[in-house]
Amino acid sequence: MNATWNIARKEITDALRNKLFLTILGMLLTLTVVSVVLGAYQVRMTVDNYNNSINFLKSLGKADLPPMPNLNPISASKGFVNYIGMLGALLAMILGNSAIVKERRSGTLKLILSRRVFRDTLLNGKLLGNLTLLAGITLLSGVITFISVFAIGKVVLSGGDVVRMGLFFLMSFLYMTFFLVLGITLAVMVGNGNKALLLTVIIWLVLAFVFPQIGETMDMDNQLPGGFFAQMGMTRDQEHKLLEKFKFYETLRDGIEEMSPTKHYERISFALLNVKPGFEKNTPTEVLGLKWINLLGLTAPSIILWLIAYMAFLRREDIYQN
Amino acid sequence: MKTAKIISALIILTLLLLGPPFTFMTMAAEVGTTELSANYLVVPGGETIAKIKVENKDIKLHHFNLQATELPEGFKAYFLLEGKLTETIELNPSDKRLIELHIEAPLKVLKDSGTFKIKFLREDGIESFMPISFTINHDFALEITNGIKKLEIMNGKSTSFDIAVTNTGNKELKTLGLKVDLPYKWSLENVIPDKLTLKPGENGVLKVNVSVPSTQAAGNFVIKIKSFNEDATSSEISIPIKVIASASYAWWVIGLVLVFGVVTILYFRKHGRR
Amino acid sequence: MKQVFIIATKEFKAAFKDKVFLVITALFLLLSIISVYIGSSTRNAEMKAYQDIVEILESQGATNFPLSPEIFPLAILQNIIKYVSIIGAVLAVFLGFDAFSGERENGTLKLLLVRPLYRDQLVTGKLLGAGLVIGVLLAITLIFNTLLFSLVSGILPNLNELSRLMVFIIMAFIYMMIFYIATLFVSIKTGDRAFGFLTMMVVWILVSFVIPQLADSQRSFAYALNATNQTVTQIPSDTVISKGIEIFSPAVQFQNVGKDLLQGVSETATMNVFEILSRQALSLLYILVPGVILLFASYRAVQKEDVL
Repeated sequence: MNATWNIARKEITDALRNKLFLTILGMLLTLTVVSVVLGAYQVRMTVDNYNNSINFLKSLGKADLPPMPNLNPISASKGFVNYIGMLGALLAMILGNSAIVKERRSGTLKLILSRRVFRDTLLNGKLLGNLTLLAGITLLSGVITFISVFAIGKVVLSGGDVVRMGLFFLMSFLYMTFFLVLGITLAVMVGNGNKALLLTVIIWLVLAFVFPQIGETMDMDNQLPGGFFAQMGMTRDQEHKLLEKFKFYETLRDGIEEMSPTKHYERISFALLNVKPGFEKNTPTEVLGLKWINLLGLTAPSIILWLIAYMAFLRREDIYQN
Repeated sequence: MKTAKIISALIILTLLLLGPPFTFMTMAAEVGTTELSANYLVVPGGETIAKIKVENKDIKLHHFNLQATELPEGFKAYFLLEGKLTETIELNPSDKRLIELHIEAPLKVLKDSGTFKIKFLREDGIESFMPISFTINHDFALEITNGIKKLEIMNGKSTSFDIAVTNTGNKELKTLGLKVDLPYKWSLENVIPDKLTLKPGENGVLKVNVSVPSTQAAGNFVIKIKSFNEDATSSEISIPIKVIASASYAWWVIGLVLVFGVVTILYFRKHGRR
Repeated sequence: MKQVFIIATKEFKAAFKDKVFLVITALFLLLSIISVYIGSSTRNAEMKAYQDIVEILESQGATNFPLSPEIFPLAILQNIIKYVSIIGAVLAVFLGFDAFSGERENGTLKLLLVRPLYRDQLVTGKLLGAGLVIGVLLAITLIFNTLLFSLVSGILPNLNELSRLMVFIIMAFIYMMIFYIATLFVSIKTGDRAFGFLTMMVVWILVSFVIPQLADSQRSFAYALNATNQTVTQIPSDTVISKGIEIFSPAVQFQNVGKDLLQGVSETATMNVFEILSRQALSLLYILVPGVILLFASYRAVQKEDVL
């Protein structure tokens, strides 16, 4: 256990000297504040706009009024989830890749392993150190968000909202963990460090952009501006018939989306932060209860990848070659 | 002005005696012309459409702003021109257009009859009014009750629930059906019975079968239902429905993790920890 | 001039031997094919659904029919705009990230520069090579997708549509080249290729996602009432701030021009190419300016490089 902890500590000090890591971390924190500022501004604008529209609709005698916009600046900016997701993932991939690659380059890997440190212990140490870092980053961006929501947005969050936000940051941590593990695993499996990094990024691109994009393309209602069904004024029955024809598409589309941790992260986060409507009245635990599948989809891939890393590292012989 | 009122009152009286209300009438959107009014039969909770002909008798092009004023409490009114919601219309000299005035009556009405006015405001500030009067028709009234507090369903499954409708009017309601408004991509399997006939005071139950696509993510949704036939429409009820995720995906994932776990252990056994 | 071509040819060949690059290329092509196929078959299904509706209404004796859905053929290819602006940009980054730092790390840069070769020729050669790769790729995408589209939907694009498509491909080429130039610049400036690559990934995230979303958060929403189905919908509209933020993202500008060209906006769907280009002149400028600046910066940086 002592060995694990020592390796972990070294990981942390190393990362804090990494220029790129620090740059991206700075960007992440800046963007967090920026999105709260813009969110607050947006809230003000939306409320004005909303009141105008409501007056107009009321003057028409309509009772079916749109719901009041959310006053939380975080929900106002859907981008918030994406910044944390994208930059966080990139950070995690850099950490994971360099954790293995830097030791291999400097030849220290050989050195550590000759000191009666088990290979899995080494990996555990690396993981522990980087997870601590990620947890620190998550905590830091969480604290900054809370402070700026209060200071800039002038919104006092309710107890439930605080818990929801906390859970969201936990999900972000799990999401980053996946890419950290991916980075480490690929660096272990692929001998060439640069190639491993490129591969990690490609997998990220596929999971975070290509799969969701295919899903979006395959949703036929997205294919026409304004939505086809609404445009045609179709009855339910006709819509039903049409959807029946596309059942295979739908299943395939869902299957593709289900494979992407990004989609799981997005679904559970949007529900927690009320970006997606329909969860406003739920308690935080109820949201988790509804979205537990996504939580599973977020954690299971990390575990599997980690087991693969154990196995791959156990049989690597090129560590001792120079 | 006074004579105009008397005339319109007389016309209302004649119309009431004649029975079915006029649906077409002429409105000269010009100052000083005689105002006419028609009486409309309105069903509680229902919608009545009045067709209004607007004419510009001036020699210049004019814009008119339309507004329903002095509406009784709970009533709603809006204008449709060629199917689109309209507030203003533009008319060339001696042009005529037909506008639909939609009147929605609330379910509980305080008085059995009443009037309101439609204000035509020309762009140069000249106003003219058209009174509209209505009588509540108690022959046809329909009430829908929602016995369900909360529904829960797994995605990929179907569920059914009962909706009770009561004929609260004085006449029989034939071929009553349901209009079920479902979330996107959900489907309505069937309603049993499809149509219902209710005598005054009688109530009936309709069973609604709904299926949720397997691709539906877990969450809270709302189903909106109203009952209707040619004569009456009930108010709309909302039924909250909670969709929970089916566990089959979870079993796959957990199984996969276990398989990998076992493989790892065997792998370490075979090659030894080092 | 001969040297330039030699370098270009070498770059071209190297790109198609690189497995990583090929994977991304395959992804790009796969996405565009899926998108065109689904787009075309969805359109067919929609037309069929429309005819069904009309038939049902006819059998019920109705005389009023909903308007036929207005589908512009090129709109089916619309997803390609997004793919070019996201995956296409990454492709350019993958193509260029070790163009310079790779040569430097392998020591081939020194070798190249001791030969009778001007440094600017080296940059020109690299650009030409990359241009060739991107050009070939886009040409394949264009031809393949137009064929697939005509095959599945049974529509042949007319002259206006073809010219729009051509201009769009040229725009896509310019957009991807700008990313290549930016990557080349970073590659000249940094010693470590992994660092250069990750820097470009950060730039890519900023340009393709962060800036557009910041702009998006500053749009105002108007509430509109749909008279036929009585629903209230939100319609986003640009504000001065959102427009201002978008200037800094070539990705957004490219998407704006692309949407006009590929008939994504019904107001401009029937205009001819020149009208659209003059309408979008400002967007074009916003795309080109950073590219030109980076191009000059790259030439300058190479002159200052001290390999010896």
